[in-house]
Amino acid sequence: MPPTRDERFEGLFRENYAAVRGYALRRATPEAAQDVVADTFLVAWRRLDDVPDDALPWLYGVARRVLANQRRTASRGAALERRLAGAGSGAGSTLDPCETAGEAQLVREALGRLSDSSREALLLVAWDGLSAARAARAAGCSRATFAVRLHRARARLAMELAALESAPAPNLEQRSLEVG
Amino acid sequence: MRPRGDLMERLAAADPVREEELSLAEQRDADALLVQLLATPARPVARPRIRRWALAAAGALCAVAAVFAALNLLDSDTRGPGVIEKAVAAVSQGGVYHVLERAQSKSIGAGQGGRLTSYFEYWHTPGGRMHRKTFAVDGPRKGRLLNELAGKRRPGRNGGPVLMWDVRSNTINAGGFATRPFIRGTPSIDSFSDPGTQLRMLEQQGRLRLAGTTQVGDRQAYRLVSGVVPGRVRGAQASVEFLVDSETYLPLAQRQSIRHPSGDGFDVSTRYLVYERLPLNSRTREELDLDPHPGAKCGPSGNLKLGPLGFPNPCAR
Repeated sequence: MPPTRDERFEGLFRENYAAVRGYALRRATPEAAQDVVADTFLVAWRRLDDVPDDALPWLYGVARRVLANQRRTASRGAALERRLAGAGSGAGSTLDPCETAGEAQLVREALGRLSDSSREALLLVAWDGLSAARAARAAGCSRATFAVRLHRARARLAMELAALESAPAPNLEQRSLEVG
Repeated sequence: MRPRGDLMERLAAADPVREEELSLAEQRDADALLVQLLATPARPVARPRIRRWALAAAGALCAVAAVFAALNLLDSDTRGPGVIEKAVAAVSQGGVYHVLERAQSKSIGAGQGGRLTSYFEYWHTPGGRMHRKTFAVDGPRKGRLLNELAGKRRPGRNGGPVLMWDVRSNTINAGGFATRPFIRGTPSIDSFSDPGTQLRMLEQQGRLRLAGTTQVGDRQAYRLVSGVVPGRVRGAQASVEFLVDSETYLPLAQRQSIRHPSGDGFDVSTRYLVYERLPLNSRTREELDLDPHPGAKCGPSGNLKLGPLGFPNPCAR
C-alpha cells in the first residue's frame, strides 16, 4: 500500500529537519531560525507534490527565500552579521581553542564582507555540505553559473582574509591606558 | 601563528553549527512542529463570501454578548485584578511546588493529526529550579519513566541550563530551557515551562484577564484567559486559559489552543492532578535534583561547561 500524504511528509520532515534547522541557524539568530524552519516545512507540506526526490536542495531554496523575506526588515538584516561575528566555533579541533576561536572569528568576519550571493555559494558547499550540483539547485541557478559564482566567491574570500590578516593587531595595552 | 590550510577547510572549521543528533529538547520541538504542520490544511481553504448584512448581524450579536458578559462579571463576587494577583502569588511563594499533570493534545479540523497523552511529575521553585519526569501513558512501557530533566532558569530570563536523561539510551545530555515560545508573544506553548512561570510571564505581559468561573471536578474555579496572540506558524493564532482553584488559587487545569485561519488547529488540555506547595527542606531540596542514574553515559553535550544547575553536574569533568 503506498504511503499516505501524512506519512510521506513525516518521512520528509524527519529526514531533513536537522539539516534545514542547521541551514537556518547558520544564517539567522536562533529565534529567527525557528520561524524559518517552521515556514519552510509549511511550504513543503502545502506543496508536497512539487518536492523532488532529492528534497534537501529544494528545502534549502525555500528556506533561502523565507530568510530573504525576513531580512526585508532592517532589524533582522543585521542578524546574519551578528551571527557571523558571534559565538566561537563549536567544531571539535585539536588546535588550541583560543587560536581556533580567533581563526573562526576572522573567517566569519571575512564572510560578512562578501555579497549575499557569494556568501551563500560558499556556505552551501562549506557549511551545508552540498555538492556543487545540489548547491546550484538550492541557489536556484544553473550548475555552470554556480561554478563561476563559487570560484569568484573563493577568490573574494581569500582576498578579504588576506586583508584582515595583514591588518595590525590592536594594541590592547595602549587602548586600556587611553580609556583609563 | 594562525593555522593556514585550504580556504574551504578554514571556512568549514568556522561553521558555528555543530553537526550532531538533535537533543531531547530539540527533538520535542521538532515533534511539536510536525504535529502542528500535519494539523494544517494542505491547501488554504477558500473562504465563503461574507455579505455585509451578515457582518452587521454578527457585530450586533457580539455587542449583545459582550454586554451580557460584562453584566455577568459585575454580578459575580470576583474582582479581576485581585484574582489574577492571588493566582500569581499562589505559585510564586517560597518552598517547593510539586505537580502531577496529565496533558492531552489533539488536532482540530481537517488535518487528521495525532492525539497524544503525556503524564508528567515535577518539582519547581519560583527561583527557577525545575525537575521533571515524563511517564509513558500507553504502550509496552505504560506507567514507566521515559525521561527526566532538571535545571535552573536564569533569574529574570526564560533560558537556563538543563540536564536531560533518556531512559532508552541511558544517556545524560545538556540543553537549555526553551526561549522561543515567547518570540511572537505566544503564551506558554513551552513544553518545559511550569505553570508558575507561565502565569507570572502572562501577568507581566498584561495578557491575563478574568473571564468568570467554572467547575473543575468538584472544585469551583476561576477562568483566567489570555488574549489571542500570533502563533508560531505564520497566520496562526494562539491563546491560553488557566483554571485556578477559587479557594487556594492554585492551578487546576490549563487549556492552550492554536488556530489557523481556516479554523483548523491544535489543542493542549492539561489537568493538574496534584498541585501542592511543600516546605523547602533536605528532602524536597533533593527532589529538585536530577535523580542518580548509576551507569548512565554522558552524551556529547553532557560535559559542556554549563551555568549553575543548582546541583552537581554528574557529567562535569
